[in-house]
Amino acid sequence: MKVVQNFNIMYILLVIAQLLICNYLHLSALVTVSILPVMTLCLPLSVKTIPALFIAFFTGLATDALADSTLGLNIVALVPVAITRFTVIRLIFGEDTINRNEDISIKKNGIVKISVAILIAQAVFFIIYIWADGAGTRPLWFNLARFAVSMAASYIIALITAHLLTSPSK
Amino acid sequence: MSRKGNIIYHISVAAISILMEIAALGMLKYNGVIQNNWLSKGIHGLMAGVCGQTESIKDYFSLKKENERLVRENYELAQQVRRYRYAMNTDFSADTTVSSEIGCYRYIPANILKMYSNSQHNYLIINKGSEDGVVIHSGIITPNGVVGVVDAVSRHYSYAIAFTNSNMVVSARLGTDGAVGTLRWDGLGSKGAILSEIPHHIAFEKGDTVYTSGYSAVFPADIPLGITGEKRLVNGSSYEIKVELFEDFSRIRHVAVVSNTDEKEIEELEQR
Repeated sequence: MKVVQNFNIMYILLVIAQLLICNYLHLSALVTVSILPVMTLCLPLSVKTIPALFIAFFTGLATDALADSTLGLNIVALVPVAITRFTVIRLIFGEDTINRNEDISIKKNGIVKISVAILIAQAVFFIIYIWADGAGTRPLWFNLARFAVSMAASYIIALITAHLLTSPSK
Repeated sequence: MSRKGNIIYHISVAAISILMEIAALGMLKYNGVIQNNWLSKGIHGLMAGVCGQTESIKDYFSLKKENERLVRENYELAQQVRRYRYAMNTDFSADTTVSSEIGCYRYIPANILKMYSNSQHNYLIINKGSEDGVVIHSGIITPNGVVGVVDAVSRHYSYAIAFTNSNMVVSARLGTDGAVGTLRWDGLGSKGAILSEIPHHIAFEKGDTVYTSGYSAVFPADIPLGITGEKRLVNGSSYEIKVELFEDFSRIRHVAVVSNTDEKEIEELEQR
C-alpha cells in the first residue's frame, strides 16, 4: 500500500515538474522536453491498458490545461503511448514480465533495456506531438531536427524519471 | 481471461482509445488556429473520400436502373433519327414527338431473354409478345445491325430465328445506293457474314459499308450492317464478299422489334 501511495505522490510531483518544464524551460523552437511518455510507460503493470488510457488522458489534459500548450496536444500524443505500453514491454522485457506482473526498473532490467523502451515510447509520443503541433505548416527537415533534438534532450530526463518511478524503495 | 472475454476487452480498448483520440483532436481543433485549419482540411478530405466511395457504391447498385433508362433514351433517340430520315424523304411536316410508328414501320423496344449461339441453327427469345404488338415475321434490329426474325409469338414472349442461323438471309446493299445482294452468316464467328450475288462489274472498295436494302418487308432500309472485306469471284459472274458485322452477337441484350404495318396489304397484292 505504501509503495502505491509513494508511486501516486511521485507521479503527481512529476506532472508538476512537467508543468514547470513546459512553462519555464524554453530552450529553442527545436527542443521539446517531455517526461510524460516515460511516466506512462512506467505505470505499474498491475494497471491494465484501460486504466492506463484514462491516466494518460487526464495527465495530458492537466498538462495542456495548466501549461503553455494547445489543449489536446499532449493528450493526442500520450494516449497512443498508453495503447502501445504493453506491446513495448512485451517486446523488450518479455512475456514473463507481464504474466508475473513484475514492475520494471533500471536496477532489475538493466539500463539498456529500459533505454530502448523509453526511446520507443518517446518516439511514439514525439512523432505525433511534432506532427500535430506543426499541423502541416513546418518543413520536413524542421520536424525531423526537432524530433531528434527532443528525443535526445528528453532521454536524459526520462532516465531519471524512470529511476524515480520504478525504484523499489518507492 | 476467456477467449470471448479477451476479444471484448480488446474491442473496449480500441473503442476507448478512438474516443479519447477524437476528444483530443476535438480539443485541438477548437483551441489551435493552425490545428483547426489542418484538421478541417483533413476532415474534409476524409469526408470527400468517404462520400466519393459511398457514391461509387450507390452508383454501382443503381447501374441496372441507369442502364434501363439509357436503353429507353437510346430507343427514343433512335426513333427520332429514323423519323427525321423518313421525313427528309417524304413530303409532310415532321412530328417531333417520339412515336413507335415511323412511316410504315412500328418499333417496339425489347430485351433478349435467351440467345442460343452454339449451333448452326441459333435462335433467341425476347420479352415482348402479341400483347405488346409483336407479330410473326417482325424483324429484330439494333442500331448496328439485324439480329433476327420473329418466328413464333406467345402473349408475352417471342421466339425468333437469329441472324446467326444458316437458314436466314437478309437483303443487303453495298453503300446506300450500290448493288443489292443477300447477306448470310458465315457460320464461323459472331461477327462474320458473307454478302453474295453482287454482280462482278460493280466497283467497290474493301471497307465499304453494307446496309439493309429495304427490299424485304421485314427490315427497313439503311440499317448499317458491317464493312466489306475480302472478295471472291463465283462462277465468273458474281462476287462473294466477306463482311465484318458491326454488331457482336455475343453481347447483345437490348433490341427493337420492327414490324411492317403494310405487310398484309403487300402480301395481298402479291397474291393477286
